[in-house]
Order: sequence, then structure tokens, then C-alpha cells
Amino acid sequence: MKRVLALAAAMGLLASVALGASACSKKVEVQTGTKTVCSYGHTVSDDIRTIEVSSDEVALHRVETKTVVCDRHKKLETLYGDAQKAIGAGDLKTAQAKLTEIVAADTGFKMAKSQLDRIKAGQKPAPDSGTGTPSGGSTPKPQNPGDSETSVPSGSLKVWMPDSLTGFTASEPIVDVLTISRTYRPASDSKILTFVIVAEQYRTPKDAAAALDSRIKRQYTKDVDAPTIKGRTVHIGTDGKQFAAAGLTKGSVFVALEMSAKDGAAPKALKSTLVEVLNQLP
Amino acid sequence: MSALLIVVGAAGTFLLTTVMLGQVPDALLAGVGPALALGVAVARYGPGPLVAQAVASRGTLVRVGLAGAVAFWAAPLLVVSQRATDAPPGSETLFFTTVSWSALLVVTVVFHRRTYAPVIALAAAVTGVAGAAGLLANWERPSSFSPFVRYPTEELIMLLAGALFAVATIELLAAAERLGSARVFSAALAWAAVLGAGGIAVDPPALASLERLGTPLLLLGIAHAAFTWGWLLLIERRGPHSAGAAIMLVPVAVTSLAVVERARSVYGANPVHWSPALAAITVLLAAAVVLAFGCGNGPDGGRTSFWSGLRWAFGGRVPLLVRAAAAALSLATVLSVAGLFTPAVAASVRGLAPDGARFSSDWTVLGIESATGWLAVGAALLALSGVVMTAQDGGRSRVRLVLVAALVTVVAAWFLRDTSLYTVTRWMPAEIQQAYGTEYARIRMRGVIEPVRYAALGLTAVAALLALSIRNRPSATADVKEEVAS
Repeated sequence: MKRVLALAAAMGLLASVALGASACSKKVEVQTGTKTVCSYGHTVSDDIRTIEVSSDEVALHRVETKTVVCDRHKKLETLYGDAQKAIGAGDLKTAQAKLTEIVAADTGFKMAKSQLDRIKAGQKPAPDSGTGTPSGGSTPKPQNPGDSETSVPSGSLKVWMPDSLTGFTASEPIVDVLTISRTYRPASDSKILTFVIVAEQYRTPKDAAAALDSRIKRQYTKDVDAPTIKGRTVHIGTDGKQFAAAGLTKGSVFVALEMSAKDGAAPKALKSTLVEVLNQLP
Repeated sequence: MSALLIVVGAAGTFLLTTVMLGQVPDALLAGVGPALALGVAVARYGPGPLVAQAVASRGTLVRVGLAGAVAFWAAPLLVVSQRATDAPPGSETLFFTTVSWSALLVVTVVFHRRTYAPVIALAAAVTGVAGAAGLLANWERPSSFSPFVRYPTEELIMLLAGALFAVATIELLAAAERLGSARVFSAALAWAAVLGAGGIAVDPPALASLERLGTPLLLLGIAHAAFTWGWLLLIERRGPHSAGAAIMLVPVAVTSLAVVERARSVYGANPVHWSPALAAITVLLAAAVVLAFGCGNGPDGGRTSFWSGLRWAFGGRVPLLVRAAAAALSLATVLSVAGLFTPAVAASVRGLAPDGARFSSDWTVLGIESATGWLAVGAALLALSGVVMTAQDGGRSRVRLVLVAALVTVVAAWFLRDTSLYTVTRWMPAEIQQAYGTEYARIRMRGVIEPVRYAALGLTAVAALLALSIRNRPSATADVKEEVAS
């Protein structure tokens, strides 16, 4: 009997050690704070810091990123809007004054510089009828697929997620050998909640096409379109509830873009933004 | 051959059960095997032993029958009742129903004084468990192996089933030694089969499922019966150590299916991290060999105890090499245990929450939560018990076996330095953990070169090599008996 009790005690001790190892509290370093970014690409404020907390408190800490239009760019937007109205009304003098003020503050602001140059050259520029979505300080240039940084697959996949996209602030890409993904934060007044681009390397074009089929065409079956963008067919669709996605293949590479809509917004409305982004990819 | 039956039978039982979970009632999954095993008993021994056992004393009949029912019906039923297709995940289920059962059997064997070298057996068990955990934690990235985190109750019950299985095994072995294996095994399997059939009969879904008895269920029954017979034959012929060693190798057999699959075709990226996995496999093989051949069968017939042997190893009559090895290994053991509470792996998580907030955390995994931490303990214990074994006249080849196993474990610990045994934790936000391996979250683990643990590993390696170099092994049994007597 004593031996059985000792055996039971030993087994109980072993189980306790194992359970204890899985449940022990520990100190964890987490990043916490808020970064406020202007949708024109610069940081407004940043109080992100790394702190050490007990593991029980980890879930309470994260890094929020807010995208706003800073006061300076709000003023520039107002001036720009006034300049476009003046151009439309034929008042090039007023337009020139407004555009000069804009270019002095930010030479890359929308089409201000090019319009000002045309006015100075004695020509009348066309008014900018844009979507109202803020653009970055410089026009994002699509990268050529051949510009790969490394010889490993993830290096060449990175061309599908540029550092800047109109209306979005890029986060750090998440890189694996055969997959790379990047989230883009939309402007805070956008109807988009989240946006991610994923690029995956497959063995054959057939495998990439199968991925397009299973992950985009069969998942996003509503509001379907198949436009030709940059010479290739892109499949765009929604799930009818919250998500809109686009998918394409280039050789053995499968690229997917997925957006989710904020509460109250229809995913169908995100399709035009997807097309705008696709026009900025290679 | 019996060992092969155990490994193949257990692996087949695990895999086929996984396939049929949720489709076939638990009573049926656990009841088919004993029925087939009883058929083999009747075919092997005839009905005579069954009849003889039936007229034996009631007490003996009940004890043997209970042991058989517990080992071959109740324990498997307990395990099946705690399983869903992927909850607990396959890696954890395999860990808690094979190598853990081996360790529990070793503990039971040691407590029943059925081994010459209890410390070696325990060291081999610790090493084997650490090796298996290291192997299963490298099946994929991110790993699904995080024992006792998501399914602690289910996994504790699986361990309880293992403990019951171990105690029942010893009971059957003891009875077989007294009454003969034919009578005992036949009676044990008869009880298991009757209870298994009864379980099916009282479970209407199980009864209805019998009509759908198909090839997978039959194969499961065959696998379970094969394991049962392999187990009984091996414990009878070579002792429970050997059976424990065989079941320790089941994770290796299941992992090898990945090789078979890839040889036939390619299904995308290879999930197994083969470098640490192969290192873990060598540890498992070494631990199994030590358990099977290094511990001996039968009670310690008046030979010296581990502590007496350790005192002898430090004594004045002992060559300097032996004393140095014993001192170094004693220190290594202490350091390796201390190393369980020092940093072993640096972990970091980067992710994106559903609301778009970025998540970033870094923490340290302790030795007790890592493969290397436990491998250091196992290696030090193996080597120390190998040196002490010289006091027990364990035989030169047996001593070398244990010391080489310790060296293999030390080398493997380096390849497993990045392996944490806990990828999933209770405190990490669920939405982040669920996204591991996707574009929304990643987890990285990097081994920490921590002085205490690596000093233990280094000392173990040096001391084991020293001990292996000893040519003229002093005969210590007489010396120690003299000391003990005085």
C-alpha cells in the first residue's frame, strides 16, 4: 500500500511539474502606444515604447496606428480645392497664388507643381477631379518585377507590395521563404477597415492558378468582375458581407489583395479602391 | 519481432483512430482490438488455459481479469474518449499516449523494484521524453505542440490512462510469473474482450455502427491486437523495460511516414524541421536502447544501490579518472537541474490584430519549457549513472552503451537549442495565436547560449569521454559491500 501511495505521489509530482511549466507567469516585453500618421506619409506623433509586463497583462497592450490628415495638409487640401475651383472658373491668377502657396509648403502635393508650371508657361491646366483620396508626398512608382533584392523567392515577391500606395500607409512586411505579406493602413476617414496584400511563390503556374481559383474565385463569389489591368486579367469579387478581394497570377506567383469594410459600409464599394491599387502594382 | 508489433501496432492504432474519430463511437474503437486479441490467444493457447483460469481462485481471477480489462480496454477507451480529430492535436496525443506511457511504466517498474539499475532507467525515461517532445515540437512551424496549455484535462486523463496501463502491466507480469503466461494472458484478454463487447452492446450508436464495419475499423482492430500481443510477449520474454523502449519509438515511426509520403509525391512545402527532428530521433533511439539493454531485468539482487555506488566512485581506492568523471558529472547534474530555471529560448511574436492594431511581444522561454533544458538533465543523469554502474558490475558493454547515449544526447541538444516546448501559451491573445504562420502573425524562437546549461552539457560530454577511456575498470562491488557492512 505504501508503495502504491508513493507511486501515485511520484506521478502526481511529475504531472504538477508539467502543469506548472505550462502555467507559470513570466515577464514579457511588449510594445504599446499610439502612432499617429498623416495620410500624406509623415508621422504626426509617436509614443510607442517597449515595456515589461506580467504575462497576464500582455493582451492589454498593443500599438495603435491612427491615420489622420494633419493640420498642415488639411490647409493644403483646402487651398488645393480652391485652386481647382479657380482653374475650373478660368481664374488662373487666383489659382496661381493658391498653387504657389501649396508648392512652397509641399512640392509633391498632388498635381500642384505641374499645374503651377503650366500656368507660368501661359497654359491652362486641366482641373484635378481626383477621388479625394489623399496621395503620398510623391507619386508611387510601380516597381518592375525584375527588381528583386535577393535571390530567394521572397525577395522577388516584395515587388508586389510597394512601400507606398495612394491613400495608405505601409507597415513592415512579414516575410517567409515562399510567402510575403504586407498590411496597409487606410486613412482614418476611409471606409476601409483593413487591407493586406499577399504574394506567394508556387512551383508551377498551374499551382498558382489553382490557388487563385480556390482562394479568390470560390471564396468571393459576389459582385464579380474580371477587368484587364496592366495587361493581365484580375479576378475581383466580394463575399457580400464585409470583404472584397482581388487576385491575379504572374507565372508561378499568386497575388491576393483583401480589404475589409468598416461597419455600415458595403464591400462592393471597395472594388474601385482595389482597382486603383492594382494600377499601382507592377 | 514483438518490439516491431508494438511499434507498428501502436502507430497504426493512433493513426487509424485519428481517421475514424467522430465517425465511429468510442466504445467500438476501443472494443474491436481486445476481441481480435482474444481470438489470437485462443488460436495460440487453445481454450484450455481459459478454462483453467476460470476455475482458479476467485481472487486471482478478479485481479488478472481487472488488470487485463484496465490495460487493454479501459485505458484505450479513456484515451479515445478524450480525443477529437485535432483536439488535442496529434502531436500532443502521440506524446501523451506513447512515450509518456513508457516513462510511467519505468516509474512503476522502479517502484516495484524490477530493475537492476533504476537510476539508469529513470534517466533513459527522462531523456526519451525530452527527445520525443523535441521531435514532436519540430513537426511543423508554427508548432502545434504545447502540452497542458489548451487541453490540460484531456491530457491529464491520458496520463492517468497510462498510469493505469503501467500498473496493470506489472500486475499481469507478476501473475504470469506465478501462474504461467498462457492462463494469465488468456484470462486478461477474455475480460478485456467481454467488457469491450459489453461496451459496444450497451451503446446503441456503436451497435448500429457495426453494420458499417469496414476496412479501417478492421485494420484498427488488427493494429490494436498486434500491439496487445507484442506487448504481452515482450514483457514476458524481456521484461517491461524492453516494452517501454519499444513504445518510446512510436513517434519515430509516425514521423517516418512523412518520408514515405514525400518519396511517393510532393505535397507542397515540407513542414518537418528535419535537422532538429533527426537529432531528436537519435536521442529517442539512444534512450530506447539504454532502456532495453542497459537496465537489466529482475530485482536488484543484493547489489549496491546508486548512492553506495556514487560514494564508492569518490573513494580513495578508485582511479583518478573515475573520481574526476564522477565529480564532473555530479556537478553537471546539479547545473543541468539549475539550468531548467534559466533562459533557454528567446521568443518573439509580431502580429496584426483584427482591429488593425499592431502586436509585438518578446519573452524568454526557460529551460523547463525547452527541449535542451531536459536533454541536459537526461544526459547528465545517464552519464552519472553510467559511471556509478561500474560499482554495480554492470558489464563493460552496458556501461559504454549508457555513456555513448549520454554523448549522443549532448550533441543532439545543440541541434535542438531553438526548440521551445510551448508555442501556444495561455496568456497570448487568442486572435494572435490563431493567426500564427499566416500573413497576420508570426512567432520566432531562437536558442539562448546560457552558461549554466551549456556548462552542464560540456561537463557531461568531457566526463563521459573520460569514463569511456577507462580501460581497467576497478571491481567495486566487493569494496562497496565492505564499506556498507562496516
